Amino acid sequence: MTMEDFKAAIIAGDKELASKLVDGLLEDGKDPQSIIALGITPAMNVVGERYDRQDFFLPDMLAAADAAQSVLDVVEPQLREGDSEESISVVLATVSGDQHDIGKNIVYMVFRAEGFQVTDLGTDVNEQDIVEAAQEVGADVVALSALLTTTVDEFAVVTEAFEAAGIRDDVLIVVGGAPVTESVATEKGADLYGETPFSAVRQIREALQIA
Amino acid sequence: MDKREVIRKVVNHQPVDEVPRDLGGGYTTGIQGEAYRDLVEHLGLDEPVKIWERLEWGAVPSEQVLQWAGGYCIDPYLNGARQLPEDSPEEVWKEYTRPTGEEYLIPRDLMIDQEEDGREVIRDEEGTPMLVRSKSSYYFDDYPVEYFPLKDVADLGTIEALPDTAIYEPWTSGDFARLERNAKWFYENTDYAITPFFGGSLFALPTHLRGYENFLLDLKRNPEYVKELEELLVQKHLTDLKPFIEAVDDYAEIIGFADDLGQQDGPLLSPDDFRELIFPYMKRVYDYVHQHSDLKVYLHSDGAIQSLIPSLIEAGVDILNPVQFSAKGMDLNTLKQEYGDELVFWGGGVDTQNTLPNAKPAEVKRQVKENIRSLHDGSGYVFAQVHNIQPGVPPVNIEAMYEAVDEINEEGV
Repeated sequence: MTMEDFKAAIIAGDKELASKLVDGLLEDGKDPQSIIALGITPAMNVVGERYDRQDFFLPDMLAAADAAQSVLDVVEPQLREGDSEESISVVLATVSGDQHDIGKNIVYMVFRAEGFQVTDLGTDVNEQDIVEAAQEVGADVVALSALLTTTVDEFAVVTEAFEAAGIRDDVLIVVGGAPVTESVATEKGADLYGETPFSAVRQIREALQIA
Repeated sequence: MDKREVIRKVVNHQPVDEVPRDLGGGYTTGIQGEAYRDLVEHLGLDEPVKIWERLEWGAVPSEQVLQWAGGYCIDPYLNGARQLPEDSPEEVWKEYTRPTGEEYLIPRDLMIDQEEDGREVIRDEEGTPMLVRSKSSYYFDDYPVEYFPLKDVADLGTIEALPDTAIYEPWTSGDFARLERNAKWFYENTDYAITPFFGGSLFALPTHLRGYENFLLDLKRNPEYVKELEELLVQKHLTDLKPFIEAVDDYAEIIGFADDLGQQDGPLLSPDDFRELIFPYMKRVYDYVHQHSDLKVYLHSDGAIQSLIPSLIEAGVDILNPVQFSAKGMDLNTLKQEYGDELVFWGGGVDTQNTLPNAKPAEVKRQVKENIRSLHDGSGYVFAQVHNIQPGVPPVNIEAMYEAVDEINEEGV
């Protein structure tokens, strides 16, 4: 049993096998930090690459993210104080007027599987609640989703609310959803456009300079 | 040539000397209520906004608007909301005011509860909330406390044990006699092509029954369960399809199905999973149509589905809508070149996510003309925007869209 088998189980979305293997790794004395850094994160990178190449589709990606999340739930509580220093804190929401949660939930699963700490505010969330939640958890990233052409304007409302609260520069605002494009993201004052959850992860890591 | 004849020729790939168009003849070629209100005000018409479709709050274009738009097609039933001259309006409609103050006529049997916080909720027969719309939204969506009747059902049992799936199907426990009466009336009294919508979903419907993520995971982890569920849904669809076809076959040109299989950058499931777990069941339903009628199978499927198209054709799809050309791999010239001999394209006329709401009228016209030139090669194309016209679309852009079609038809196609 190796780290490679463990990675392969996550990539294959085999939750049962991945859970069994992570128990074995911990029993063998592997430290939780390296299980994440050498197992879960690289496995999710492979999933992201395959998804972007269209070798993987949503069901494959969800199965892998689900497997990764279930092993993270085992490993994370065992991290020593200070180990998770670099963990990225994200506040996630579908914007006001928009009830769509499928895209947001997929982003949640992928972000969690990538080891981000995610506060999911749900759907139809107004800008004040988003600002307050970001302040409360000290968010590095605010991730916003919209499916409707009529609700993408809310991105600008949220961005302005962060300006008004005087904490716009403290958070990266990343936006995504079917009608969103790079230029829509820029126009609404967001920092990043996440075309896929994985492209969001890469750009967030790059912007925060965390490998 | 009358409108019906043009559509008949187009869906049979026979040459026509005009590009026909559709507003609201298909489930997703229509116009949302607020966009419709803006349009009729712009046109100086004094008429109520009638809503027939609750999820996306789709409006019924009046005869006046349909004439103005130059529509060729009519859905004779509209989920029971289609009214004939002999019907009294009170039998079909009731007044409804949204918490935001906008006034509508909605179908008599559509029950919407208004909560104190301004949310509107539609409940099932037992009173469980199914759909919700927030005050600032234009659309109903799944209730946040998920209403997924098969979420925790491990043993599917028989078709009788299935919950009423009708909630997500435009064709609910339909009134087949009324469907036939209406189809016959439009056939005898107008020259519209009759384009009834059935539904018949085999992918989107199970995602609503099981929950979206659950069903996608089922595809990977529990394919036998997926097959069992698909089998039950095929039985349900065939049970409804028989009387539906009997009601419309003498009058209609097409039968409408909808199953969203794509997202913006690719299909929602792999072509292999589609082939194994969805395709065989779709084919049985569409085969039934072809074996029992002359109706053409019209499929609405959003998104980037290019890699599934060969399988869809093999399953028996004759007409594809909405041809979402902004999605990855959905280049119109390529689609026409590769699949134009077998598929009729219905839609794809102008982008509704960015162009129609945001562009200047001149850009709308340019895109409409370019897209028609890609999709019409003497036949095989019905013009419609990609999906319904959304709220906030400037009426001048809708005007520009139809002017462009007029100009193309005048210039000769």
